[in-house]
Amino acid sequence: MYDQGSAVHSSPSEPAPAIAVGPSNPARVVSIYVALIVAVQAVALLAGPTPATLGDAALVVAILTHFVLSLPAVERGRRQGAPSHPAVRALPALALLPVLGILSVTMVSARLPQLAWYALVGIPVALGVALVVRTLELDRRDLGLGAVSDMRQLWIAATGIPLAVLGYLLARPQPLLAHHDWRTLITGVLILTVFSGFLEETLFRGLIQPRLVTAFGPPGIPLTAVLFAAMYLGTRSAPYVLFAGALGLLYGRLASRTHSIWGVAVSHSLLNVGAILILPLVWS
Amino acid sequence: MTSTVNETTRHLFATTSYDIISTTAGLTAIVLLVVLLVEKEVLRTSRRTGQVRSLRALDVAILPLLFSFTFVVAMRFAVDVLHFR
Repeated sequence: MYDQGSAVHSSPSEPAPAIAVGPSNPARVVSIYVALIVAVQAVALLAGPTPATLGDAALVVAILTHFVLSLPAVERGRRQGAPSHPAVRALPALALLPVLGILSVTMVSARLPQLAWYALVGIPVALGVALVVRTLELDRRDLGLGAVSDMRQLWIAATGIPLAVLGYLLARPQPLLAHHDWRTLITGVLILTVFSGFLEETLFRGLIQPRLVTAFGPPGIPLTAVLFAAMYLGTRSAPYVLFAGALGLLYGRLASRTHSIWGVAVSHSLLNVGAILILPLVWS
Repeated sequence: MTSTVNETTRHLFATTSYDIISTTAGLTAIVLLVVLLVEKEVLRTSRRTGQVRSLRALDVAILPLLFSFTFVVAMRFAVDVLHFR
């Protein structure tokens, strides 16, 4: 249990004990942060990106400060044989979502091609993912990126093709490329594969979902799907948001059952490449 | 169409000049970066946190925001000084 601030006598050579932060139910606190993250995305939709950016900034400070101040008490409790608090370990991963919200507005410029935006936003987000992995001392298997020994991953990856058609029909995006030469197309495929498909699945299904499942049990999967769908509120398309939510549930279940995100990452990459890059060129 | 670059971003850049965007969102990111850096130093010197290792969690936001700060400054330099259009 949390050290609720009761006196812990320490020797003069030891630092003072960390203060206990928040109620004795860390899972409830994490669920409040999840609700706030979704609320900020709704603010972006209703009031524009500026108030949402302010909300994201406040959330980043709140979530990371909460984690920093909670961690010593949690680790001290664990050393004393008390139950660990897996919900606390979800906080650094959740903090990446408001960071992503800020980066998606500050790391882009109308003077640069839209394709470059994915890389400009993706690089610092990938850095953030790596730092969370370091903070939580995770390895590749914890992220679902262990060696693939399961043919099911191929079938899961193949779902990206029909999903791309469905996603395109729902969203009807404008063509992303102004030029149709092979070099630009291959560059676009690489950028969307790495910085959109793989990065999003590493973040949501590799990093956030396992922490939420450990904290809340099976409801962690639909909770992650809600967060995933909330990031698509900016599409201003209710069918596409529902599609994103259903996709999050599907990918979440598949990743959880197979203990691997390789298949869903490839599927998501195929979906994005098809729906955003290829199909708008073919059907425009 | 993706969670990294979404329609909110596209709509913003279709309706608002970069000057306004870099002033509001960019300023928010820079202020947030400064707040996190100050917080890290305050907590480091505070006896309450106990473990300095936990402060590295703040790097989860600090380093990506450093990227953002560098980009915002570089774009402002390119637009205002080099007149990049």
